[in-house]
Amino acid sequence: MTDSELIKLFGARDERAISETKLRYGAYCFTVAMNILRNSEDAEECINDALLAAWERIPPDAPENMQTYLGKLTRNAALSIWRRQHAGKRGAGHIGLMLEELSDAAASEDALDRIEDVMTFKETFNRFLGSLKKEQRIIFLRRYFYMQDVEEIASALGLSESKVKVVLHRTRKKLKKILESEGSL
Amino acid sequence: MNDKMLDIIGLADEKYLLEAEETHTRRKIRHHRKISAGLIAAIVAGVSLVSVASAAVYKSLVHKESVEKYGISVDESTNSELIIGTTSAENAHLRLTADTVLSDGIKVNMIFTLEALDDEGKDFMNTNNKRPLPTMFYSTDLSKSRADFRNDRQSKALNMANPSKLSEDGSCSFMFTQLFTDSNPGKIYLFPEDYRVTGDGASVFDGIILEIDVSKNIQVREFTHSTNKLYLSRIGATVIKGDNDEPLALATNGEFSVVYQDGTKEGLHDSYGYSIVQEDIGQTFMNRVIDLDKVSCVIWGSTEYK
Repeated sequence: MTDSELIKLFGARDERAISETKLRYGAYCFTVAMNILRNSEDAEECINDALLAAWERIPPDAPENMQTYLGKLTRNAALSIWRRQHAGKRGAGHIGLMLEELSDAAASEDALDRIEDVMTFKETFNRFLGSLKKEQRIIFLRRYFYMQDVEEIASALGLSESKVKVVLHRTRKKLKKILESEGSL
Repeated sequence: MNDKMLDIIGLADEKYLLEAEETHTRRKIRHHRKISAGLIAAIVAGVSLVSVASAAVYKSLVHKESVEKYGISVDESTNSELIIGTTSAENAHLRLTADTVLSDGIKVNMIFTLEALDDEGKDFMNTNNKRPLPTMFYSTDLSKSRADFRNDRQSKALNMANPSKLSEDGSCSFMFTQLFTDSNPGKIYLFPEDYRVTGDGASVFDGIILEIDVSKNIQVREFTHSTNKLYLSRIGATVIKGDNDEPLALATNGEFSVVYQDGTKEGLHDSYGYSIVQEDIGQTFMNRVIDLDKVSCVIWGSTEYK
């Protein structure tokens, strides 16, 4: 079933939209969720949350690319579950490690505390992504959007782990510079 | 620890996410460049219809249903080509059977059945909300151990798996597709793994290794545009860029159609499976059987291959 046919099912409030979407994109969503949650039962719950969110949003949403649309919903759902499980805890495994990377170089804890609405960063952040070289951008998003391990990124892109780490470090610094120069943080 | 930065990163435009997703096999593509001449030769050598394995004796209805579940239509005329044979391996806990192995020399599409043989096996079968999803490693080197794979993520080979719900008899089938962009390896060894196990821990799959012949066993036809070559088989298409300056102009959601000799055109958008698109190669799986002999040209992206 094509994306447009899936969207038509959502538009017609036909419940097959859920099962057909799960059939086509379930494995993909599972991978996205597992990268964050590292637990198959939580990942399965997360997929159901993401599909429910799609049901509630389409229409009016009419995603151009169903896969990336669902990827975003799945990531959001997975982060919600992760936050629920780790409320008040410090560290929190691989996500905690990622947050340490980001808070060290991209934005300070205090600056982040002052943010009231992250949506105000949408344009600035995407301008930042657009300013990156393609390879930098891919590495950055794989690490911090899809939350893949450095070794996994290195393996997939045919790079050394140290190269990936260096690119990530430089990209975080560039993000910090852009956010600071625009007075965002 | 403040995690708002994760929300900011979640605002990334979908075009950038698509870019990040579509480039995940670059390492293999690079390697492919070096040996593409040999690869092309291997494909071309079998462009005419490859004989179906004479030992096509596996007739399990369960398997037929599992194939159809993933949108691959199976009818009597094509059944013998889709059902190639079976190989299985087991330990005290689980039995893993490869029901179908379809290979066009570059891409391989496999369907497996997993069955529990004891309580530990049943425990695994009940994971992932009764959709067990083993991690799969593959190698052409049997001497590799599970620890080697755990420590060498480059060997990780799971590209797509759609586990079905447990059937009443407690078994489960799932599809596994793998792109081979280096060379036709002939034979591979598959090591299933329990994703819950890390380090040197014992796995419910210990001892299970499947030896699988992934030699080309289905028909492949060649089409060209300029110096670009498109190889079309029943499991998918591969485009390899030739020595020219024209971009491949492929897109995972762009046009993908075949035009038959009688002039009719069949869109295969709904047939897209797992795809990768790069500057010099594009590959996609299909989930619909088409009559290759009647195809006169293929349209992928904005390019016609004749």
